[in-house]
Amino acid sequence: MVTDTSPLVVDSEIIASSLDDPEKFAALFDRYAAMLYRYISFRLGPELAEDLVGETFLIAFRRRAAYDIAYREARPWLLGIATKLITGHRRSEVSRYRALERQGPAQTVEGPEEAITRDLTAQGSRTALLNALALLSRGDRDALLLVAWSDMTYEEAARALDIPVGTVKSRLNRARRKIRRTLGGVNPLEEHDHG
Amino acid sequence: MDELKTLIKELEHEPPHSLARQRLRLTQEASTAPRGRRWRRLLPFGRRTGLERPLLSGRRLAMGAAVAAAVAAGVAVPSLLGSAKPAYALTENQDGSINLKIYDFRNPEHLEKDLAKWGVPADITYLPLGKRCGNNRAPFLKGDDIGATEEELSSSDAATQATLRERLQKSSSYQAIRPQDGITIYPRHIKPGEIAMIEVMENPVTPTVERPGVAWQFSGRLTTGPIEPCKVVADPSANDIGDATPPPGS
Repeated sequence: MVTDTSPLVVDSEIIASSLDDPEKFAALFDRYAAMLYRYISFRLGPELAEDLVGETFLIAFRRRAAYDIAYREARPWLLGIATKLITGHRRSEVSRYRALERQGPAQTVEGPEEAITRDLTAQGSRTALLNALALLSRGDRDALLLVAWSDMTYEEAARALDIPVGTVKSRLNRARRKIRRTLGGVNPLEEHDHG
Repeated sequence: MDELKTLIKELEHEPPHSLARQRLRLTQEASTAPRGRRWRRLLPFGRRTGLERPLLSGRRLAMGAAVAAAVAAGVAVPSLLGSAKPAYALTENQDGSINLKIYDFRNPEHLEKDLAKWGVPADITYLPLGKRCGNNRAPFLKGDDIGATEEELSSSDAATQATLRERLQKSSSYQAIRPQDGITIYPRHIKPGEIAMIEVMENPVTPTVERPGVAWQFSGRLTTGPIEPCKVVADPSANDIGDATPPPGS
């Protein structure tokens, strides 16, 4: 894939120049299509991901005149558009988690007794986690998975989802509390290296 | 341990090669989109609004799309300069229009004579890219006044631009000289006494896939004459399509 824009040019400049020369917008595709594919395929599976990456860029392209060029990085904006498209497919998302619950992880369990015990524990929490994700409200799930997947800040998530920062925080708190409960008191988003 | 992060790693997929199809979808839409603020300079009149660029011009409409398509397909844009090739090629289409492809920028007088043989009175000017004629040169046709307001011209609203483009495409000059497949001239839209005035700007550096740019661009409109000589001035916007990426040291 050819990128026709230097990595030194920030996203907002690409978007601004694409108002005059629409073809320049393709440089954003070269930067972010793979990232968006990973995000969408995680939530909806590979079957829908490819088309939705294309949809995300078409929507972004049509709305580029409204982009606030004070924000140099377009990543949160694009992830926000993708998230809204995913929400439109939330039934597919929920049934994907349900199906994965039944299947179990791809790798087979082999090895010494300790490892088997560890894997079974992991599998147990995996099933519980998938179940919890399926049960979350769509707003809570969007906030939790967007932030967990992308490591964006609350402010970025608020802009991506077009909701106030306070709403992002309350949705994340609620989602994390529910997940923690299903995992037996372990917060899946707590960073242990924070001390 | 972070169960959610582990789950994410398990569930996400690597992008397939077929994702390039989605890029094509985007570039196809982009190549037909209105070209934003540049439309201000595309309009076939200048004096009424005080606009600097009076010519109806097909600036990089055709070439811009060709560059984008070539980049998407991953092939090189062929050089427009080749000593083995003729300077230009004229072909007649089935609908009576004449297609002009310029391969080398020399001998405008010869091209004028050839066009005259096909029944098209023409005035051709060759300039290096980055220059343009700063004077109006010749009277404007009534049919080129599309009555756009300054507000419409500077609007970045897609709908306004679309209607502006529609009106532009109905202008007399656009009917006769169109940025299609290079330059396509429609003799049936040139009335007796009218002259096709065309300026072609050539980029001495041939754009490549790695460094896309404007290979050449043209401006054209009809006039009844008389035509004054071109007063050459600088056109800093000429290479806009390629210079979002000024490579260091260039």
